[in-house]
Amino acid sequence: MSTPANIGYLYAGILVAAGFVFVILATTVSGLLSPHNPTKEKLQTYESGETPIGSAWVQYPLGFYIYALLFVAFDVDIVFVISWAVIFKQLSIFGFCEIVFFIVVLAIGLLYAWRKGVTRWI
Amino acid sequence: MFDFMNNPTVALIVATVVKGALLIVILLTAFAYMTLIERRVVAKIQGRLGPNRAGPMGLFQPVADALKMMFKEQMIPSQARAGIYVLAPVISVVVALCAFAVVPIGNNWSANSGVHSIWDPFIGDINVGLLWILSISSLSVYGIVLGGWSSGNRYSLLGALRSAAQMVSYETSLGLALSGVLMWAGSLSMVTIVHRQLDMGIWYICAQPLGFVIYIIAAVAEVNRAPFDLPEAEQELTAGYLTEYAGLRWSLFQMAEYINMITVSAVASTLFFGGWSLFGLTDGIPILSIVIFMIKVAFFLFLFIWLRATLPRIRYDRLMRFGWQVLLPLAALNIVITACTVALGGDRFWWISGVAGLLVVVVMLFAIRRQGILEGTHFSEVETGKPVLPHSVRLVTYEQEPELEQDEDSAPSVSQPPLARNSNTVQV
Repeated sequence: MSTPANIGYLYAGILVAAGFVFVILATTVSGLLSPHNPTKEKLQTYESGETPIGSAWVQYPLGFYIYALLFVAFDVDIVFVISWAVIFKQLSIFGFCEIVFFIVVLAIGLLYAWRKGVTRWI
Repeated sequence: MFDFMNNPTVALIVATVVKGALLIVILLTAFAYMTLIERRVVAKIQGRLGPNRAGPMGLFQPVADALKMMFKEQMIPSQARAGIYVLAPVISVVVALCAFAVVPIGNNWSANSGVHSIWDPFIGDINVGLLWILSISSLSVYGIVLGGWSSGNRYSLLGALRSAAQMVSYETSLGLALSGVLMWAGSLSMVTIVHRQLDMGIWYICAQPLGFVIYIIAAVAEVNRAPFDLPEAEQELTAGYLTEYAGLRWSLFQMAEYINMITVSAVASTLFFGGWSLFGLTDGIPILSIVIFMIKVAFFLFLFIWLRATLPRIRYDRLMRFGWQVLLPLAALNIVITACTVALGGDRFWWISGVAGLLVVVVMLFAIRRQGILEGTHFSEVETGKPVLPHSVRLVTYEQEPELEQDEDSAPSVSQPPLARNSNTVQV
């Protein structure tokens, strides 16, 4: 009670639990109410009316992987930037120089990826 | 009878459970009526009527839809990985629901006196509130990717991958755009951010116009709404990650999408538009603050519908390029501008970053338009002075077309009647 900030996590945890209860309740009720009559055709994969050939887990373009790599790099940066931004007013000029330096490094990284053609799809 | 409420811990838990249940009910009702309003508004914009049969003005349509979904068969395709296939919509919905936990819906019941009550209109005032929203909403990628992957369908797999790439690309810009607000507020707690805006006397939209524009674009991409709804592009991918889902599981995914929309709208109005405040109007009457907050959220929801009805879907490569080459550098620029202003002298100089941000937005609009003309996505004029269709929409390549007999009056003239635009190109 003395630290409402930490007790907030309890609130959020309760909401997560309530969400799970709701979803499980809804699916269970629906499962009881709805018919259950699967046939072979009904369970077939939908491919615009054709009979599906082979597995669905095909190879997909490498571009997705590169975006994931870029994302990991920049998301770690965000963690740093956000925690810096919160206490920026107390850091004064030192914090300002730090972040400008940091953003310049970030920009060089993005520029490198840009020149390499990574940010262009295909 | 209510003796147990005298124990503060028990009272706290009871209050939280009640508020949580109330919040879930409100969100689900909002979702149901959001679908109806969206269909009605889009119909209005397109000159149709929309659903108006079930009840007065179609007001019972969501009830009918919900009942229909309850009674539909829940099947698992034979190629699907059953466990993950069942789990994916659950992840989506739970994640969408609990992201809303830290948003302050209204003022404290005791107004601005600073006295907290367990029944204040927010679930939890976590001191890392904004970080909670960012991290939880990025978890919603899991629901979509797992659902698409486990369906055992190529459309689903491709839609899920597209969605994942799109969401992670725009998430970086989203996070960077929000850090400008954090610099002004100096706190991650949503309740504190609203109070800081009251102390400063302005809404942060005035100090952060660039940040707001970036946030709203990235938010539309985050929740996979038109014009960024490529994961569900019907013409290319049937229904994307939703292809193999039916019945209640499908509507769980829908539910998650709409609740995410409500969440990003609530975050936008909290961070940039002063949350529940309106020029001191709510000082005396706390209940009014809830109404004002709802009106602000409703405005953003209407904006989502309006965008969907107005803009065509953009191409996937352009989407990714826009995210990485325009939004991300601009978000970094926004941080630098804001940092300069805050370092210069704090709250008094908010207008400097406001004006600079607006300037950047205007320059960006002009640059995008110019780039569009250069790349041929806008109407451009060739040597004859006649406007021609861009490459991407032309039916025949312009270069190989035999020279048509031109009239003598085709001397360079800047303004042609609009009908002349198609005359060169549509004859196949």
